[in-house]
Amino acid sequence: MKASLEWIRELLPELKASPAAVERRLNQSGVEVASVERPQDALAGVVVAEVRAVRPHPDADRLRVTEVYDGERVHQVVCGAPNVAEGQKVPFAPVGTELPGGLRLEARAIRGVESSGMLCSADELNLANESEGLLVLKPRLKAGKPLAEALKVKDTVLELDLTPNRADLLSHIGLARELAALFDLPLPVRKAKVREGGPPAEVTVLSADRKRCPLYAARLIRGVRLGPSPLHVQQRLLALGQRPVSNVVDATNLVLLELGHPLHAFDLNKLKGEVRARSARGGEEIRLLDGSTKTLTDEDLVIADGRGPIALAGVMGGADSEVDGSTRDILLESALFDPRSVRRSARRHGLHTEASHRFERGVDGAQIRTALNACAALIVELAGGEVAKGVLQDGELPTSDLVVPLRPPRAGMLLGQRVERSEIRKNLSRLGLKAVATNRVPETKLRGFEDAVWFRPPSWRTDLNREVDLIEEVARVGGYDRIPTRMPDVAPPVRTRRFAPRADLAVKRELAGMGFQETLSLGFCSGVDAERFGVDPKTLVELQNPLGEETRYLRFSILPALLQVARFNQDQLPSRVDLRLFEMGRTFAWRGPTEQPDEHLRVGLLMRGRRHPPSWGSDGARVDAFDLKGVVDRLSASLGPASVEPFECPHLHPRASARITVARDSGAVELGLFGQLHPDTMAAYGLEGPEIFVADLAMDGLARAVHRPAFRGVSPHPPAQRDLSFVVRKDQPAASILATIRKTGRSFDLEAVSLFDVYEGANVPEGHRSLAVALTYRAPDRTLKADEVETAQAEVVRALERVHGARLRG
Amino acid sequence: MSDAPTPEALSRAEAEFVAAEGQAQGLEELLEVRSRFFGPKGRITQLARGVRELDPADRRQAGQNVNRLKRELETRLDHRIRALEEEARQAELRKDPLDLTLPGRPPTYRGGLHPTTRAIEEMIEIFGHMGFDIATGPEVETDWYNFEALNFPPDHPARDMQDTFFVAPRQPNTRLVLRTHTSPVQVRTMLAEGAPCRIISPGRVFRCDSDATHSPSFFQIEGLWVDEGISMAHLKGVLQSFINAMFGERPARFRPSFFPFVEPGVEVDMQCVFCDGAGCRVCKRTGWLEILGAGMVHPAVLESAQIDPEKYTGFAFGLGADRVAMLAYQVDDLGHFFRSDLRVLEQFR
Repeated sequence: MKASLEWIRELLPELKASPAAVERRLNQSGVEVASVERPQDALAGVVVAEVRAVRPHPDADRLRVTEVYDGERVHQVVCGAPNVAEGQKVPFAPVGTELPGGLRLEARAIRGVESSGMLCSADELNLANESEGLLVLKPRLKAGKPLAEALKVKDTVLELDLTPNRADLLSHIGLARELAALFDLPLPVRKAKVREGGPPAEVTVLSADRKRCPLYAARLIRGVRLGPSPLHVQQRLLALGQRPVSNVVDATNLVLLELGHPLHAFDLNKLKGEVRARSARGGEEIRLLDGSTKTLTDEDLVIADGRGPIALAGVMGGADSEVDGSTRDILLESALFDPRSVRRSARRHGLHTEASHRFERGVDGAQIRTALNACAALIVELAGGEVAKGVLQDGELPTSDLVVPLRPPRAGMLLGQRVERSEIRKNLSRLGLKAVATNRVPETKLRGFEDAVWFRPPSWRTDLNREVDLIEEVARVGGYDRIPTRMPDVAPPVRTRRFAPRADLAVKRELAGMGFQETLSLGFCSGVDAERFGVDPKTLVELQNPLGEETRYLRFSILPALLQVARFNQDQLPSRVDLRLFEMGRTFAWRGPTEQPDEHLRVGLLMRGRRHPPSWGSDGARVDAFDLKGVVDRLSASLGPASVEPFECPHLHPRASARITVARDSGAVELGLFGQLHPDTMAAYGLEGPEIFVADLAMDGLARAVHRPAFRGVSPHPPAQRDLSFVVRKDQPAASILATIRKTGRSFDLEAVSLFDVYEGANVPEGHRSLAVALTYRAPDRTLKADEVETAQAEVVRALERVHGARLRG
Repeated sequence: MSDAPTPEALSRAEAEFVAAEGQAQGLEELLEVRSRFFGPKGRITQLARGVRELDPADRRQAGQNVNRLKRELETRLDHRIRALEEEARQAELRKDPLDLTLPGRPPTYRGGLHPTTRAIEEMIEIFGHMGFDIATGPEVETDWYNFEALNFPPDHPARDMQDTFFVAPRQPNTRLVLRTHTSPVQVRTMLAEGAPCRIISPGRVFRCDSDATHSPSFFQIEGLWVDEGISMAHLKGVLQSFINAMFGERPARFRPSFFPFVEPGVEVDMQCVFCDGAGCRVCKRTGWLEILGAGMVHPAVLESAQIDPEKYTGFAFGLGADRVAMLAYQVDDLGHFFRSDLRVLEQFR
């Protein structure tokens, strides 16, 4: 909302504070001033000038060449305005002036005639909405006088960022009241008198829906003459961001800005029969002032005449009853509409107007008549005519007997310092709250209310309903600066749960240590992503109002985002092929008819390019699937033996695609999928260059890897080390061979086994490979004898032969 | 045959040794001298052997003489040999020195955490020292937790403060949203654990808004401290402590504001980190930067969470983690955090 400080001063003449002081005080008390404008700044440089001579332009029929005197010098200016004449005083923008539209004037030739500066019309100076020809000023003005001074444009316009609770500040009177409270001045009171004349109005107004329209009031004004408003009215509206329309409409807007109450003027002669606030009939249509046609539902409240809807109540008037040049008689509406009903109608029809904005937030019902009278008087002032006798009215104002208690000790407790009764009374009365004696104690069961002070909030503060609302007002008027700054002296409760290390952070740090860079994406995905990953569309979590197709769904996996990051950086830095990326975050899926979808914390990994950072000593070898598996192994190392099985899925290369699970007491826990990205998926995401390896892992599973380690002791006895090398068919998975060795060795003090060579080629039969393992035997309680170790080795070899068909190599 | 170890013979031998040792150059020749005099057939060895052939009465004296001479000469020779050996070893050690000005071989690639994560971790640590535990909640939230329980009534204009993404529900009569703030975790935690309650909740939030200064999803940290006797002075104390810990000691300004779930509501500004209050482009010449929203937990929210607002009070705050990261690391554009440009991210390692 934009507010004119000069207008506020008209309503609160006692306000002497400087604009800067007003701005500071408003900011301090929660009324945020987003920016400050001075309308006169837009006129800087423009002066009053006298037209000394007017000649036709030698080369253009519609242009004139003028000589104007700016108080110092005479300038030659080419002018296109038809109304320019010798002896006039006109606004002159010399060379170098920046006009409100942002145009900086330069000296130039117009059709071959030198022109330095510009003679201006009112709209060119943003002083009026539209104008014909030059703005002709009063003849007695002195040439050279700054135009802003000549027109008395001197104001400070505050752009306020209002919070939705302060409906009362959506008007100049409300701001005047607030400033009165903040600067401790008497509260301004706006009264409006109207002179009536002529026969009483012969129109009937009705509210057929007293719930949604408790009060409908109107006045009849006869004999108005529509036209543009005077310059100062237009200038004020423009400075406050409103477009001037006509004197009658401008009057309703001025009252809206002054008192915060939306009004509407109907052309009476376009109405038939009685005017009534009622529910729309489903399917009824209305053409609105903005030119749109809306099909109404029976939940909409409308104002209707005998023929049909003439306004969407509290939102916008209808085009068929719009005031225009032929309008003579006006029905001026000032009514009270239910905030929720207005809000629903506005949203249903995609509208948001000055009126709906205020009705939604709650208007001051006590001001309905004041606004009506003020507006009727203003219309007569601006557009002539006569206000018919009497207010047309149906319904009545809901009465409120709300009184709110405030316990001073409670205020002191909540604010952290003692608050005196006198301060409470003083601060709240400045805001218009009245302390009342009451014998009503609705909350008798609560302690401390015997000493409460009871207040009746003013009609305009619909946001003050409970004790804490009043406590805030006491603190706000006093200033939050006065509240002390202190740490709580509350002792922490006795801890009952064991401290749990954070798995997410542990995994992130581990990955960063292994050279992975964390990225964060927005958390959405597209239907195309889901298709490429073969995700069941029924499981996708869909937004009802996505920003676009790219973000229609919540992500089902981290991987699409990582591929996009790889793509983005490929475009930024084509030379960069070495990538190690990860992102950790929630993924979403519907897994049944639950209230909320499943959310799982997952981590996605992406690796490509060289195994080692390029340096003078590195060989430049590229990572393969086993480098990625090494990372996965490291993350899951303490989970115990993982089981890896081939698992075909659309985004992974069929040759290198696996699912990894770990066995737990509670059953197998799936960690996720890893492998080489399918060439088709690479192409689909526009990725070129070396192969890409990805893993998508569940943090539910990995989290268990973050645990407090259990010490197992160390043996003081020496180990016995033996190597075994054997040939085995390639279809025997290495993991199961190692498992056989471990299982057999368990009865023979086998401490560790590690695979140190895999060989295929010469001397190994087709379809076979040679594996070499190192076995370490060690007993916890004695030194193993050579024959014990030989027995163990023989058993291991036998098991390998029996289970895997392995053949020992020489 | 062995030489008789007469004093004359000893003197001769000594003179011969001195001449030979004096002439010897280098390790090899010294070793040759050693073998010539102290080897199995060496001059001195022979003389020592000759002791046995003397009269028993002279043996003792002669033995002593020979041994003294042997020890003396041998020590002298060994000394020179060891010195030369050491010299040779030192020369060997200095052979072919490495050019350590060559760049080091990196152990692996350099990874790193996202700046937003770094900022969140710093905040978790700061609040952790003040006794705040971490709590979490779902990102797809029900209308009740995201709005109603937080005192945003249905059809209330306060809901316009947060542009909301709606999620298509699978159950009738359910309204689902992407949480617009981390505040639903307040209610979830209080309902689960009751009072007292001291938590922070970092996490992703969503707003249906996207332009140069807004991202449709970003990160917040919620804070909540509910206990008996918690006051607004405590809110100021905790938040001033946080600001000092995160940005270095600097003034904070507490202004009234409005969020439906707190009352009184507070907006906190801190002295601009770019200009230290002198006024600059970032703080729009005001010297202050908005850093967080806060307030005393609204009694209606405590009631939603089945906590007696007469017995317990509390404060809550919400920080934009990305904004904190921007200010902490002096980044001028929020977009940098979501574009995943590695040239940007790699600056935060």
